[in-house]
Amino acid sequence: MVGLRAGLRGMTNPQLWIAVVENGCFFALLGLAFYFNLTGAGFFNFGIGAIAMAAAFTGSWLVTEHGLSRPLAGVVGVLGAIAIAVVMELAVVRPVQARGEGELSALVAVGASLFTIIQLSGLFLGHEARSGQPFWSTAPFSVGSARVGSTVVPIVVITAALFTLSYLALQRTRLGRLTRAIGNDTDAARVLGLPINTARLLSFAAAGLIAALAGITFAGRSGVSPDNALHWTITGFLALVIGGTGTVWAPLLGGALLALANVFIPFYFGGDVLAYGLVVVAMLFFAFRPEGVFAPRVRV
Amino acid sequence: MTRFRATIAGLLTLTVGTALTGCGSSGDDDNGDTVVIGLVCDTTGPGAGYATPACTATKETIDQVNADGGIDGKKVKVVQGNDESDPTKTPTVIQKLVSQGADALLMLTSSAGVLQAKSLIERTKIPVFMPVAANPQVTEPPSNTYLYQLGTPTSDWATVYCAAFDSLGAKKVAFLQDSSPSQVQFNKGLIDSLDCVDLDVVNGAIDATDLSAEVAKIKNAGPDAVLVATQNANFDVLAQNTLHQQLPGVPRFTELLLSSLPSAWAQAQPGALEGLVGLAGTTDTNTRTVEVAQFFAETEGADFRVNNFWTQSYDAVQILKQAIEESGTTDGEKLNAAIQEVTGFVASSGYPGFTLSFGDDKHLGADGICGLVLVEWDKDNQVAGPWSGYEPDCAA
Repeated sequence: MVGLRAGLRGMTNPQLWIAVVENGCFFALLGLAFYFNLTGAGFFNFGIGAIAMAAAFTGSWLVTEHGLSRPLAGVVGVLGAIAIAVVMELAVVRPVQARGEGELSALVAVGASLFTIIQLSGLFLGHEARSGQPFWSTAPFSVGSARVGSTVVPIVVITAALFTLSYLALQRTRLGRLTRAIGNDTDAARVLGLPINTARLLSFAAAGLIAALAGITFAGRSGVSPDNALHWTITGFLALVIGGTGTVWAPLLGGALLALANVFIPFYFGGDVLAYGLVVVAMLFFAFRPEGVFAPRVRV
Repeated sequence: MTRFRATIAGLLTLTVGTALTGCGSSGDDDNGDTVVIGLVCDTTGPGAGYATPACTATKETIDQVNADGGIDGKKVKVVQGNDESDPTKTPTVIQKLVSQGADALLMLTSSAGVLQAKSLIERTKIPVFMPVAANPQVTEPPSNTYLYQLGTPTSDWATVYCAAFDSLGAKKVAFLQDSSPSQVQFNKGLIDSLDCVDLDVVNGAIDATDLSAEVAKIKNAGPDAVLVATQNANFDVLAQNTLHQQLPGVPRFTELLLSSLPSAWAQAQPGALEGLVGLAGTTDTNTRTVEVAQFFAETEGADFRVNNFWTQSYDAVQILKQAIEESGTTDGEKLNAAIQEVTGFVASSGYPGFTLSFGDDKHLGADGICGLVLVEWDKDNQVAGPWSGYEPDCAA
């Protein structure tokens, strides 16, 4: 009975559920960025975390060191992130894949790009963490016994908007359907003469945009540093692995499940076992549900 | 395939090259007319927050020594390396600096790396200072003959915390630490020494994006005070943001790092640091500190704000200079013996009257606990000054 009460104490704590919502939105957005790259280019872009970090870190640097307004710095950060994503496709992924060197070579090249972005950010903007400078935040407020921080509402609204727009863009527009078709079977799309390069480029740019908005908004909680990049990449990848790739909403579910683990594993088992807990969750999915919760439907 | 390899090689070169940017040397080996100081600065790794200012302070102090004629007429030359606080790299960096003729080493990096390199340091037979380290294990036997620390050990931290808790009537204290192995090892001695209170240790992942669960556990336990024990500024700020939000009114304490990192204060949400009490190493009631601050401000500008990273780095160079002048040589063993003769060195850290002394059995320089200052943050997330609740006594 005591154990049950202790168990319920966590599950009925509204503060923890607010944390689940906030973290879940962030993880879901990173997962959505992965999803766009996978859908449009058939490729896991492990540079997503670095792109999100670079956008938030650059924006913060522009505000704190050069006095730019937050909205303007945010725009620069987003545009910079899109530019990095596009360069990553044009200068790294596409040339490697064009030579037929396979998926692994492209992944290695993108992995190197991730570390390059981390190092260059540290070299030019400093290795110390910077304060987050979200272009939109609200005054903290209370809901019952729980406090809602300044970044919760913005990240929820941005997540809802980006997922809805992504759904509409991919499902209801000709370009979206084209992008999905190319991602599903690039070779067939090439035979049919579809604009593969344009669709790939757009998917990388969209991923950069989503990652940037996620990074800039979430950094408002406790800042950002180059060290965040790798962790954010792994987080986004796990959100996609758990959610699956069957629908654009899959990363949202994956992000939410990951956030549940992220909040309740430390509560019940301690923060020092969080990493092990996440590994177990990931291994369970890899072993028993490698396609994630939402598996792609294949027409035979 | 060749082009691909070239691309990969280029990227790797760029990455590795960037990673090694902090490394360098000023060239030739010691030729007898110079004193060579090896400087290990973690300016790109997890210790960059404190190592970067400490490294700058050390170089500026050496520049001043050279401008004043050097040490016994010999110019001081710096050879520098960067181990990125990675214990696997520390021995290699030390060996490189020794091969470049270093007569003494100033290690501005994590204790973990130096702990790994203790036997190597013992064999090299040159004095090694850890100006800003606080882990007393570094200078404990065995293999501590040439190792010295200027920072106050964690056992002294515990004495100060206990007095502070007592002044608040706090009997039950939550101890929130990041669960990185180095931090857990670092905090072990502190936890053992905090036997004055009922301590509830809560671990959080060092790279956590959220500490709501950890703080909820703390809240459920109903502590009289919370001590955030980390050397990671991001973790500290995230913890303070969360504690401020979920446990308003509960006194909060932090370790030595945050007070020395004004850039990290800006990371905190508005008002999140208000009322926080943290360890610091400097107060402007110490005229020696004010003098040293003015010296650094000449180079760093009017906005310069002194902290213990600067003052302890300054003192390390001055103690080394004094020992070389006393011994008249840079021979490692003779220089080491001269360092152990340094007593009552008036420190530029801590409260007035704080001194540093070394000896055969005393490798921790601090004489007493008044090298520590408890400071309090205001509603603007700025350090307002010494905490009124308790002031360490130099006579204690």
